[in-house]
Amino acid sequence: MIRALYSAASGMKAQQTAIDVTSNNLANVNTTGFKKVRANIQELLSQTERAPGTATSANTEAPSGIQVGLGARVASTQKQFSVGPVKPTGTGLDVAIMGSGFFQVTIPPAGEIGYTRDGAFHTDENGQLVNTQGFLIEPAITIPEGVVNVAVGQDGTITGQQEGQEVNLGQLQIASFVNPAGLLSAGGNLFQASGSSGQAVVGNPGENGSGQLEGGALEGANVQAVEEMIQLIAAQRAFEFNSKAVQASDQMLREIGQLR
Amino acid sequence: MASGMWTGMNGAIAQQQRLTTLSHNLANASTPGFKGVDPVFHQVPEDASKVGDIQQAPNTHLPIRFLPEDRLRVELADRVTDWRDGPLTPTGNALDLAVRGEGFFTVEAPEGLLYTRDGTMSLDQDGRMVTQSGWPVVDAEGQPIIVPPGSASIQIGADGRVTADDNEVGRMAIVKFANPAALERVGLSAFRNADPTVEALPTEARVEQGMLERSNVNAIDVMTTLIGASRAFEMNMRGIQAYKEMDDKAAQEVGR
Repeated sequence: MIRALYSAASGMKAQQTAIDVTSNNLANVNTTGFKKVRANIQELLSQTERAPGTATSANTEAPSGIQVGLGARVASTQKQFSVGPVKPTGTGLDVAIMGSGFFQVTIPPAGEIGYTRDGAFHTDENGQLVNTQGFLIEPAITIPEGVVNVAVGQDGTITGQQEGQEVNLGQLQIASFVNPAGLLSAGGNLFQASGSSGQAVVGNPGENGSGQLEGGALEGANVQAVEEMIQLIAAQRAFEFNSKAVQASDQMLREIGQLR
Repeated sequence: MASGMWTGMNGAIAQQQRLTTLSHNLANASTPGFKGVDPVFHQVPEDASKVGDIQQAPNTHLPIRFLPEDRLRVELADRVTDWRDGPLTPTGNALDLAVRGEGFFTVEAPEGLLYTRDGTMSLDQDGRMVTQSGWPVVDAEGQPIIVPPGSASIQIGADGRVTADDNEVGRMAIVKFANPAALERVGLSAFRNADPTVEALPTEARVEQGMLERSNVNAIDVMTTLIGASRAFEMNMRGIQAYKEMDDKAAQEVGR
């Protein structure tokens, strides 16, 4: 009875985490470059009272055993890296990656590299290219004063016009990872490399399997609102079923306590 | 009077103590910086010399070995703090702080330095940054952080640096301990380092401004343990009642 109580509680906790994840996805349905997360639920270990195949007599074996599972748990929260919808904005410094890969930024004050899909870039007071939080884009690109009509090409080259002449201001680089799902979420639309993501392979857009760039556009979140709503309903109902199991265990324990 | 009755009472008291701790956790389910408490029970021999003794039952030749369980009782051994992080929620208040990662704010209480995860800060009339209990937050040298009155904006960096109107006024000491389990709970969401040989260590935890760490109590865990504890209490009571009935029978019917 107590085992049923704790199994049901573990189920409720797993569904609670699933709802937390879904809720975060829904909260970020309009966040630029957001990648949705899926909670993978796994069963907990089982206790074996009798293993399958135990001998029942001199020459027969039990075809199945007695094993009771102990509930469920969230095994991992996996980021899904499908490309979100790309929306044209008309702003020259907005960039979207039409495929896999990440932009690189340097995070102050220590200067470690953060990776992001959020291509809403701006210039700071020195004309350097920065992201929305003011972190410098890596490799550093400067837009000198007097340059207008800045545009980003498909291969990442940034061009502008100065006194009627076209100038080349640099080329954006894209970092690719063997296992992007292993990246650490650092908040602020940034990721950081971890042991399981592999090393970043940096190159021009289009190399190393990375996508080409689309200037004047931003990538939206890859969250499907309908899918998340169904997930929410499913998790809520599963939570309810588990709470019924808790109630049933409670009833049965009470019956035991009242035996004469 | 059967000794089993005392065992039943003992069990019931243990469940009551468990319930007290669970209620304390539930009461603090939304206290910022609260760390849940788990009671730990262990078995204690009533009389250590009798455990496992072979005792001669009267008028028989057979030795009767009393089971050690007859001479044990359940006792509350420890209240262990659950050190998991609580959820961080954004509040938007400039003076609400949360430590993301392993670390504590260092505060100066009248009886000495205390450590807390509760980041609901205010400024007192002298401009010192204080917790809701009025204890000033201190830096690595033990000095309070003083914000000049009338400062329009207060920024707190990830390393605990406090900047008022673009002037740095101090840096909060954010520390961690090698063994947090050895810290003493003094209530008011604060902990004390009772061992002078244990040092507070520097930490890479980040301070988040505008966020609060909520209680790490999970209501589901508390409620299911509560169900288990109250049913176990009931069953212990039934056990005591069964002994009472046996004694009643012995006293009222056998004696006639």
